[in-house]
Amino acid sequence: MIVRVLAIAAATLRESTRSAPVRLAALLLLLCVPVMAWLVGDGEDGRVWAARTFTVEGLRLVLPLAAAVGGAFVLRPAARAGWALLPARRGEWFAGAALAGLGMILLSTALFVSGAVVMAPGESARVVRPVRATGLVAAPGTATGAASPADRHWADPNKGQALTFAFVRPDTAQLAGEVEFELVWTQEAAPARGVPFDVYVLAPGSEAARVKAEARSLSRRRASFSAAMPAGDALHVQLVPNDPVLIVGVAEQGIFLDGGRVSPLPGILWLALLAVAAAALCMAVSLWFRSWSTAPTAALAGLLLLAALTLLPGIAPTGRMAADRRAAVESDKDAMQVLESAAAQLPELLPSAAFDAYLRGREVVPTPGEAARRGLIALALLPLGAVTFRRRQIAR
Amino acid sequence: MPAVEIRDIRKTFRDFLGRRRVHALDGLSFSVAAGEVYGLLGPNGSGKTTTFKIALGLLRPDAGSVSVLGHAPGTLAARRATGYLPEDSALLPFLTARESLRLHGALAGLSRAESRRKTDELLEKVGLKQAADRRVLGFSKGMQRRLGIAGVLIGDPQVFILDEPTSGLDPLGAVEMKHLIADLRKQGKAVLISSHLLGELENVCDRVAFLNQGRLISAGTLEELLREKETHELRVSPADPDAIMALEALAKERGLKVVRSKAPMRSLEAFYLSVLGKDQAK
Repeated sequence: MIVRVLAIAAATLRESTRSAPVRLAALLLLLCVPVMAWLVGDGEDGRVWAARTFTVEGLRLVLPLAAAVGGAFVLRPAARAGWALLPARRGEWFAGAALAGLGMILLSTALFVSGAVVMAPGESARVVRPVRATGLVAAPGTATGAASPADRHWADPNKGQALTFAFVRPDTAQLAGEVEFELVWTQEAAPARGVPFDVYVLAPGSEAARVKAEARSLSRRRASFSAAMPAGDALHVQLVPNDPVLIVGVAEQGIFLDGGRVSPLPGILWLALLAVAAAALCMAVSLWFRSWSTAPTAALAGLLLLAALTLLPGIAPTGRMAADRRAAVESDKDAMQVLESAAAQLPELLPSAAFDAYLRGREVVPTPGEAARRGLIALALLPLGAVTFRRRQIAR
Repeated sequence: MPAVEIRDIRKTFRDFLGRRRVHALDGLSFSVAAGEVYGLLGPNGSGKTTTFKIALGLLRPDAGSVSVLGHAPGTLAARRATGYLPEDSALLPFLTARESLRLHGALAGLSRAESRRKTDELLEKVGLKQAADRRVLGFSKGMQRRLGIAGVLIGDPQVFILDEPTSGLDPLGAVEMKHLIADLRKQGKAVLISSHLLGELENVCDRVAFLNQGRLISAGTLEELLREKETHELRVSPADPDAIMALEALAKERGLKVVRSKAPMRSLEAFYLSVLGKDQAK
């Protein structure tokens, strides 16, 4: 059986890769990132930014999209296409097509990533290795809510609360870092400042005083800070809310210090692995639909899955913690809010945090479990497709 | 045990909502023995191709049963025992002729060495040795037909289902196909064949069945079906006019009516082959 599946997969791959448009597409995939970065990027930093953006968007959007559509066409259940007449079981034919589809995904990813890798060796393309907080420093009356490191801790300026995070001192001359935060409005008033908290650097056990760091807003929910590196091994960073209308929420994983620059290549490869797993999932859904329906229907099904798992988890207007906090004070939700909350609970097609991290020039933390989970779901769909395909009647 | 047994099969094609659209087969039964060439005849839409697809397991009958060498159609055993040549060859266009045959060989369970040997042998046999490494996409219809035949032969199946086997072949190719079918019969293979060209079936089939609107309207051996019981044909050689006149006079004297008396004509196919043979001999 394995020999037959491999033979069918090899022949399908040959069939799929030999047409002229496919060769052109392969060339475009290879050149996509370098050419677009060169065209769009202004200066060295601009090119690095453009290369990161095209790499991330190509992997998290275009690859699953192509897999969802391609999966609908890799299986051709018509006698005139030839496969129906070969001396093999339907299930073997289906598995061979799926394997060939996976081969196409891997090949496309390899070509695309090769282009991204070409843009990676420069010094400016190196990414920040984040030094994460080792924990929240327990200080009476300064923090609220903390179930796990992923949960946010909240600090209310009207109660004099602050958030203090402990760090191991990074091996850099200058202290720099970033904070991702959530906000909850407590009064009907506009925020007064760009960064709704002050950042202080403390060196416990040393004589140095509490030093205020220079904070800068990077986007709506992100700020950076920098200060001179204090002496001593231990290091605390304290966030003190400074706007009376805003409660500030920060997770332990949402604050980090700059731990030096590292090569982006391992990160790109991890992102590629995650994208391949997600693309395989989209392809498996399309293939399953194709096992009993037409190619356009199957492509539509794959695209719907892609859209649902990409758009719906982000449909709620605020982050999950803020939504929960809002729900606590708004006991009556209307039907749309209930639906919105349910949609926001859907798992993401891709873990966006990893892609966002790379986009922001940070080292990507390997998450093999995330890739394996998606790959296993794709694998689990294949027997289902093989069974429905076996029952299919091939009239034409 | 017959090689192919079809018993009282019925098939109706329905639309998406389950409404009846076409009665393709209505209680069709026949069987094909090993070493027999069985022809299916009928106008377009009479149910020939549907019968073939049911025998291959591509379609399921609504009622009735089908077996191929005792196996249910569509099972791996049945598919390996069956070689199907569809009307439009159905080859993979971006593979070369050699790759196509190797794929058939691998799926038929041949070892790599055996597959390679049989591929070379069959490419030679069907006259595609020079085009072995060309893609099927650029083949003429006749070349595709030859490759299709080679693909069917590589697995050495026991049952052959040939849908319009000479379609697209030149007269020489058509004659070679008829010789091939005769060879298969000699090897004890069962051959189920359909064609619109009645003359072709007449030359190669042991039995034929006539289908119309999914029903079997007549079946039997060629002898049973075609023999004209009221007339007799006598051919003499050399064609001496005096002797022929004497024979005609004798027939009339005995009370027989001479229906036709003229020099027989060769078929156009026989003439073409003799002319081509002479030209190639030069």
